[in-house]
Amino acid sequence: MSGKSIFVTVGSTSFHSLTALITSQPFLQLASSLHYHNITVQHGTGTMGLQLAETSDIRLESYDYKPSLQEDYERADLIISHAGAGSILESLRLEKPLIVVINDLLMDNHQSELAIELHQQKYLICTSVSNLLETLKSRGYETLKPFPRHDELAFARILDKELGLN
Amino acid sequence: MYSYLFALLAIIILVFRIVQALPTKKFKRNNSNKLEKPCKSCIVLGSGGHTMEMLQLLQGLDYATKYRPRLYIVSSNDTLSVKKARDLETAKGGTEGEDKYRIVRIPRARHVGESWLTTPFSVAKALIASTKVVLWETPDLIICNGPGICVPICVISYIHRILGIKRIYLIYVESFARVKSLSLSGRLLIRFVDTFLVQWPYLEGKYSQAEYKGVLV
Repeated sequence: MSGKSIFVTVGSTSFHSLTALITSQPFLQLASSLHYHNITVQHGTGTMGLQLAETSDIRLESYDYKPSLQEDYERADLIISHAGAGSILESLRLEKPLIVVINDLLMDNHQSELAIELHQQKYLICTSVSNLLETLKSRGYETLKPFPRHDELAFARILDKELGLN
Repeated sequence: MYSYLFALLAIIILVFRIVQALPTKKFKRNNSNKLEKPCKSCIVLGSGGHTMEMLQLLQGLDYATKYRPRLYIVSSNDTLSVKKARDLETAKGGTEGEDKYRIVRIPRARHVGESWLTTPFSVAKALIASTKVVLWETPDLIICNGPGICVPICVISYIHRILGIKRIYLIYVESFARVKSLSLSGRLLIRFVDTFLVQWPYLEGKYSQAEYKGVLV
C-alpha cells in the first residue's frame, strides 16, 4: 500500500496505554487523514499481537522486539517513541520527525528530562498519551530543527589531547 | 606501642599517597603523563544504551597507531556487546589477537531476579575478576561511560597510582541521557577520574570537575 509510514517504538518494556491508542479508531482515522497508511509498532513485552480497529485503510505490522530496528527507523516518515535515550538519538541522527511520548507510569523518570530538554530546543516534540492526538493534529513535528550531525572525531580529539598523543 | 606508631605512620603515608594520586588541574596542564608509545586501552562495555554510546565514542579513535592493544571488558552473558565490539573492530580493520584486541568476560555482578542471598557472592566474583584484569593487564588508559562495573575497575586502578607503579589514565563520559543530574556511577567517580566529560552544558556548571565539549555520541 502506498502512503507515508509511522514507526512506533516503546523499548524493551511495555507501554500499554500508547499501543492501545495507536490501534484505536480515532488515531487510525487521524493518521489516515494525514496520509499515513503504514504503521509499524514495536510493542515490547507483555502485549499480544496488535489488532486493528475495523474499517481501516491502514496496514499494520507489529512485533515485540528484534535485534536491530534500524530498517524500521529508516523507512519511517514519522517516529513515535518512548523517552529512551537510544531511540531518541537514533531518530535524531536520521533527521526524522520525532514525537516522544512520556510514560507517566514510570516514576523514576530521569529520561523524560532528555526529551523535555530536546523539546525546548525544538529537535523533537514531547507529549503524553492523552495529548498525542492533538500533537499529531497540530503537525508541529513538520517544522522541527535538524539535530547537529555526529562528529565522529570529537571524542578522539579530546582523548588525543589529554594523553598528549597528537 | 611501636606497632601502633608504625600503623599510624603507614596510614598517614597511605592517605598522603591517595591525596597525591587524585587528579588535579595542574597534573593535566603540565602533561607529565604524555605517552610516547601506543596506549594500551581498556574499554568497559555495559549493556544496551551504554554499549551503544561507547561504540559511538570509539568510532573515531586511531586504533592503528595510537590506541593499541585494546581490551574490552564485558559481562559474561552480554553476547550482544561482544558482537558489537567485534563488528566495530572489523569495521576499523582490527583482527583479534594479543597485540590488537581482546575481549575479556567477567561474571555479572547481579543477575536479573537473582536472590539477595547469593548476590554478595556474585558481586565478590565480579570484583575479583575485575581486580585480576586491571592488576595483571596494567593498561595505560581506561575508558568508561557508566555501567556499574566501571566503579570497581577505576578504584582498583588506583593501586598502581598509590604504589607509584603507573598512572593509569581514567576517562569517564556521562551518558547523553543525563541532562540535569549525574548517574550513580558518575557521582561516585567524578572526583577520581582524570577527565570527566558530560554531554549537556548544565552539568558543567553544576559540577566543577565536569567538562562539556558538545554531544559526543
